[in-house]
Formats: sequence, structure tokens, C-alpha cells
Amino acid sequence: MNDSRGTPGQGLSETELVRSRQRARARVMALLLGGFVVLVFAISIVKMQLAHGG
Amino acid sequence: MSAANANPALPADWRDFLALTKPRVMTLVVFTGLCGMLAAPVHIHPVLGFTAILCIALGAGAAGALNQWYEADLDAKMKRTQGRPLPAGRMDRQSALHFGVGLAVFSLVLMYVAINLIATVILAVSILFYVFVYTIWLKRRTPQNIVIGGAAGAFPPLIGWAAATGDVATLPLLLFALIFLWTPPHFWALALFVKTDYANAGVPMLPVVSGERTTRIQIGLYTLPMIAAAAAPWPLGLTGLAYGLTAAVMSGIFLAMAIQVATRRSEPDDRMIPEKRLFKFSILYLFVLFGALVIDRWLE
Repeated sequence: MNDSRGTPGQGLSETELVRSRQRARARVMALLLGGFVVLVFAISIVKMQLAHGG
Repeated sequence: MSAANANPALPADWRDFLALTKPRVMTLVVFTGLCGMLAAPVHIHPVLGFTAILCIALGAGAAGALNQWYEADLDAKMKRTQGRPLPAGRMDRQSALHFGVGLAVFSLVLMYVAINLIATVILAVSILFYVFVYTIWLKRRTPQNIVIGGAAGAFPPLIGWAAATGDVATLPLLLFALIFLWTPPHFWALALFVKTDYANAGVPMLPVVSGERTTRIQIGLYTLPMIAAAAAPWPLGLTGLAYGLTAAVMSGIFLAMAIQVATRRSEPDDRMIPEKRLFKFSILYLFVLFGALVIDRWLE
């Protein structure tokens, strides 16, 4: 499997590896939160439409 | 991926969190949940439908994560599971526990806020059943583990239906029965060809405790009520001809394969081809039956 996670033995220092994992996790978290905001917005619109018989 | 990344000081990779949710198992859960929703006689707004399916997926993922949290020691003993994030040492147990509980709570809150109380309650029961009844109570104690525990995987069509209608009816209950009765032949076919793995880990699967002969007979016996549950919606007038014919053909093939497995005896160095074939076909069986159910509804 092509794994971009890296290990200290692959030329990355442990600190660099920790930082790269933290960055990757932060990016995924940001995407998920962005998606959640869009979903909550869409749910709110739909609920308002349904409440007004739309 | 390999255990080469194992380093307890490193934060777990996001892909390891994804692996905790057992994405492959989730596929069937999401599919049956979606079909339960689409088979309902009530139209659900696509955004709410998507949200309900997302909640089912997240709930299943949470149950999978909590299962892996509890079974890390067991997973380390089995070839099939020793590459998972916890036994491979790529994640600490506490992170898995927090992730699983967080995801479970999130899926339930979202389901309640966006959909309805009944769907939320059934989702909560399915998560709790999988974690407490199957994983913690039954799995290490009895060869009936997957018979009773199979109920956990049978809830998604009920949840999908309840999300659309706010109610539970005969058809989703039959779909629940179908998955519940499908689970033993499906898992015992798998257990027949990974018996050594289960025995090494000390999991009392039926082939390990009662032997191969009993397991084969039980596969045959459970197939009969499963077929009855699969066929029942048609004569009861809950589905049309498209589903009825599909169920008849697919169940006939399933029965033929189950009889072959039930009546044979493995030789030394047996490649267990009929068992592997039955295991693979059982997955296709559920996908096709649930797909037919939706197509049948559209044809009406």
C-alpha cells in the first residue's frame, strides 16, 4: 500500500512526523467541520420549508 | 499499511480513525438502511434522507470503533485483524474510546435534531446492542454470539424506514428478520474457513466449540427460516412481483449453496471453496434483495 504517513526511518525526524500528522488531522477536521456547517444550514432551510408547507 | 508505523508517541493518523469505523462493514449497513428508507411509502426530503443515512453510517462507525477498542487484545491474536490500528500499535486505546463515544453521541444528537425520536431510539439501541450485548457480553462467552449479536446489524432498514415514516411497520420488521436470520449462515461460513484464527484467539465460534459437522448443519437449518423471511413480503402483499421473483431465484441459489456446505465434510488441506463461495454469495444476496425491494417500489 502506498502510505504517505511516513516513519522516522524514512528521512523524517520524529518532530516533523508529529507535525505532519497534526497538520493532516487538522485539515481533515476543518473539512469535516465545513461539511457539518453546510449540512446544518441545509437542514435548517429544509425544516423551515417543511414547517411552512413547502 | 503495516505495523512499521507503530510508535505510541506519535499521534494516530486520520486514516487510522477511519479504519476504526470498519468502512467495509459500513457499506452493507448504509445500503440496507438506504433501502429501508427508499422502500418506505413516504417520501423523505433528500437532505433529511442524506442526514439520516449519514447518522446510520456514523452510528455504525462508532459501534465499530468501540468494538475495536474493547477487542484490541483479541484482534492482536488473529491474522485477519492484527493489522488494525490498535493491535498494530498505531493508536492508543483511549483515543479509540473517545472517538467511538464521541461519534456515537454525535450521530444520535444529529439524528434526533434532524430526523425524529423513533429513528434515534432504534439507532441508540443498535449501537448499545452491538457494543454491550455482542462485543462485551456474548462474543467471548458463547457460540451463540453471532446469532443474538446479529440483531445489531439488522437494525439499519428499520432505522431507514423510521426516518422516513416516523413509525415501524411489518415490512421493515421482516427486513430485520431477514438480516437477523442471514447472519448465522453468513458468519459460520466465514468461521469454517478461518476456524484456526478464532481458535487461537479463544473466540468460542461454533466450529471451534461444537465442531465442523454441527456448524454445517446449523448453516443449513438457519437458511430455511431466512428464506421464509426473504420471501414473506411478497405473499403478504407488501411487495410486488419484481421483488418476489428476485427473492425466489436468489434464495434458491442460496439454499443450493447452503445444502452443499451442510452436507460435505472437509478433507485435510481442504481449500474450503464451497464455504468461501457461500460467504461471498451471502453478501451479494443481501445487496440484490434489498436492491430489488427498492426497484420494486419504484415500479409500483
